[in-house]
Parts: sequence; structure tokens; C-alpha cells
Amino acid sequence: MNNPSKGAGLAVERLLADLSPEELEPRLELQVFVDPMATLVTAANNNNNNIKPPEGG
Amino acid sequence: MSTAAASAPIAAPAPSAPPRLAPSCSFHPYDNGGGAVEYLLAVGDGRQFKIPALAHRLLTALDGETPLERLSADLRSEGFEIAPAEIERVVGRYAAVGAIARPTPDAPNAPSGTPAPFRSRFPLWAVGTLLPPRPVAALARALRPLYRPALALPLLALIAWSHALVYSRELRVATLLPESYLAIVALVLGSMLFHELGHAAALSRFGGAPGGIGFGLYLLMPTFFAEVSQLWRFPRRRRMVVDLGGAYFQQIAFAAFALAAARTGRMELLAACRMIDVLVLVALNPVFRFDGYWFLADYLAMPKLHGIALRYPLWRLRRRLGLPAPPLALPPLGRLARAVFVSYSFLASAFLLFAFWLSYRYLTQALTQFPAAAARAWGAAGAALAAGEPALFAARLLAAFFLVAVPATVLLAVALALAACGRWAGRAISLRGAALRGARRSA
Repeated sequence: MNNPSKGAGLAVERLLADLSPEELEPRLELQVFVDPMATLVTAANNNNNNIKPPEGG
Repeated sequence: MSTAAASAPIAAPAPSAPPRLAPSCSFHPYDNGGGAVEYLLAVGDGRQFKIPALAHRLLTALDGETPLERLSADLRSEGFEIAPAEIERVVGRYAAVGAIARPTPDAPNAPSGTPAPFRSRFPLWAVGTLLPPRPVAALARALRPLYRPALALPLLALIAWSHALVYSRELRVATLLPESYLAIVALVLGSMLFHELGHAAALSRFGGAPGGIGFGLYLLMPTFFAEVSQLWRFPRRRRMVVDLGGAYFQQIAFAAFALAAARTGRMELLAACRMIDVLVLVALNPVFRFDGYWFLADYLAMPKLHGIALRYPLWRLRRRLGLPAPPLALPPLGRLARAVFVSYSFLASAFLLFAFWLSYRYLTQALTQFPAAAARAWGAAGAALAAGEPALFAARLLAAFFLVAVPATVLLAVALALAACGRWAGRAISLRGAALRGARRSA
């Protein structure tokens, strides 16, 4: 059998949840600096060229 | 407007005194894509909250004089059944986020009018400021004419033409010296700063106050950022313009470099243009939380797009199989927006699974070769330093940094994804257990 006080309690909890503030995250527009050597090598390969990266790269 | 953080926590009002809204709070309409009316509440420490219309009605009535019983009666006459004790609990929740004034005048809330300090959150860390909010605002004001249609349309045409120019020329990178390599990096870093100013200028054009521009590490990758939190207060179309503003400005830098390359024939300028396009494409990838993601999140009016989109395929599968599936908090979506959301949801999930597999393959290869490659790279940088060649040393040092940073970032990302999966599975198991126990008790 349903418990009326439990039902009312649930309704209050739902109301409180509905009225609670929902935080919006800080908006940061990010841009990652990708590996420049790899980018240039890819660009060169796409161009059928060769690149001599700084040794060790 | 955003205001500075209070140094001390804000206390809930004394039970005897009727509560009062903190004077540093402000309300703004929130564009949620056509759902029930919602507002944006900005509190003194700069945080912003999405609140329903009833909470807005209730908070704006908190004048420090009206007793809660009277407020409850007023709301009942407007069709809202909410008892004084319930209002008190709601007020308590808002007091916890700093929206309710202190009961005594000698304990003021956060002062208004001061910009909120920026708080970084992992995975962005080791954060530093490149330009504080005031110079960013001044530069943004100076640059916002670039968004006027009379200027933007010819600039877009110039950008298209400059791409034809750059990609019709051969990139002879074999001729580049270490100095050229450093010049390319400097040009690209300059374009990245201009990218961030593009976001700030768009926000300024719509009347917002941009925050600072900074840099940090996203996991372990060097990252620039612009703080534009005030854009939550704008209609979605304007938010989308701010989201794309960075790419637009960086493409203006591309056009400028391309014109300079056409004049001088310098290979560094052409190489910088190619790198700019790679960076812009990465920024526009909507799977990671960069510009493309926010553009889509604003278009669909889903501030937590990832959370919803990545759950959607499984949710749909459960419904197909007739298994219990708690409702997803989807805003009202038109036919096109729905198609975009469903496609994004499945493609982003598939992309992440593919990236997971790719990361595994990359890591198994990279980690086995890493010790020898790292020793070689750092040894080469040291040799350049010993030979007194600063440009070569700097170029090799940068290459060595990325040799470590890229696999370490992939490793961290995989570990974080596995931890998130573990948390999700744990939650699902505990929810299932609770449901079974509840069903047994009812029986």
C-alpha cells in the first residue's frame, strides 16, 4: 500500500531538486599547441617532399 | 557582471531574519533552446548557475523584510504550492552558493564590480596569465570591428583566396634551418594568441567583458585559452559566434602570413600557414572540449553535451531491448538539431572507441621505443648546447619535449578514460543493487 507521507516527502524532494541551481562551468576556449615538427613532416610528406627535422626530433 | 570571490564563506541567514538576496547577484535570461523559461544567476565570486523561473521568482522576492509565510502565500496565489519550510530549504541551497546576503551589515557579501579570479580545473593545469582581463578588454574593443559584416565578408574572401595561394605552392621544408623552425614556432604562437583575442573580441562585440588570456598544460600538451564565461548570458547564436571567433581570427593571421609569403617567398611563412590549418582543425574537432565542441553544445543548447551524448547510444540500446532506462535530460530539439545530436552521439562514441584502440597501438609502439628515442633526443639537444648553437639547441629541446609530452598525454588520457569507465560501472552496479533491494522490500 502507498504511504501518503512518503509520497509527499518524495514530491518535496523533487521540488527542491527542481529548484536547485545548476552550475555552468567556466567557459575557456582552449587551443592546444600540437607538435610542430610532426606537423611539418606531415605537411612535407603530403607535398611529396622531405624534411630533415632537427636531429632527435 | 562577474565579481570577486568573497574571502570568507557566506552564511545562511539567521532563522529569525527574513532572508535577503546578496547585492552582488545578478540575473540574466538564459537561452536553453526553447525549453521552460530559465535564468542565469551570477553570484559574487563569478560562478554562474542555471535556475528555473520559479527559483528566480522566489529569489527576487527575498528583500530581507518579507517573511517566508507571506512569500509562500504570494506564490500560492500565483499557482505554486510551496510551504515556508520548503522555501527555507531552497534558500539554504542558494545560501550555500553565495546568493543570500549575510544577516548583518558589518559582514558584507563579495564586493561587486571586480573581475572574478580564474580557477583552473584538471585536465588544465600549470596555468599562467599571458594577458590580464584589462588589456584583453582594451584589445578586444579595438579588434571587434573585424566582426562587422562590411569587413568580415571581404576578409572571408581573402582567407579563401590565401588558402588557394598557400596550397598551390610547394612546401620545401628541407631547406629550413633551425632558425627557420624557431621562426615558424614564433609565428604560430602569435597566431594562437590572436585566436584567443578573436574569442574575446566577439564577446566584447556583444557587450560582454572578456576575462584574461593564459596558457597552461592540457594533460601535458601546451595550451592557450581565453576566459569567456560571460557568454553563457547571451543567446545561443551569439555564443556560437564567440565559439568560432578564434578560428576566424587565426585564419586572418593565415591570410596575413600568406600575403607576406607571396611578397617575400619565405618558406617559414608558408610552413606557418600549414601549421595554422592543423591547429584550427584540431580546435574545431567537436569530440574534445575545444571550440568545435562548444559550438555544438551551444547549437544544441546542451551545456553538458558530452555527458548526454556519450550516454545516448547505450540508453537507446536499453530502450530497444526493453530494459529500464531513466530519461535523458534532452532539451526540445527540432528535426535538424535532433539529427545532429544523434549523429554526434554515435560518431563521437565511435571516434572515442577508435581513439582508444589507436592509443593502445600507439602506446605499445611508442613506449618500447621511448627510452632509446628520449636518450637520443636529449643527447642531441645537449650536443647542440655544447657546440654553442642556441637555435639548434632550442629546436631540439622543443622536439625532445614533444617526444615526452605526446605519449605521456596519451597515457594519461587512457588512464583517465579507464577511471571514468570504472566509476560509471561502479555507479551502475550500486544503482542496480539498490533497485533490486527496493523491489525485494516492496515484495
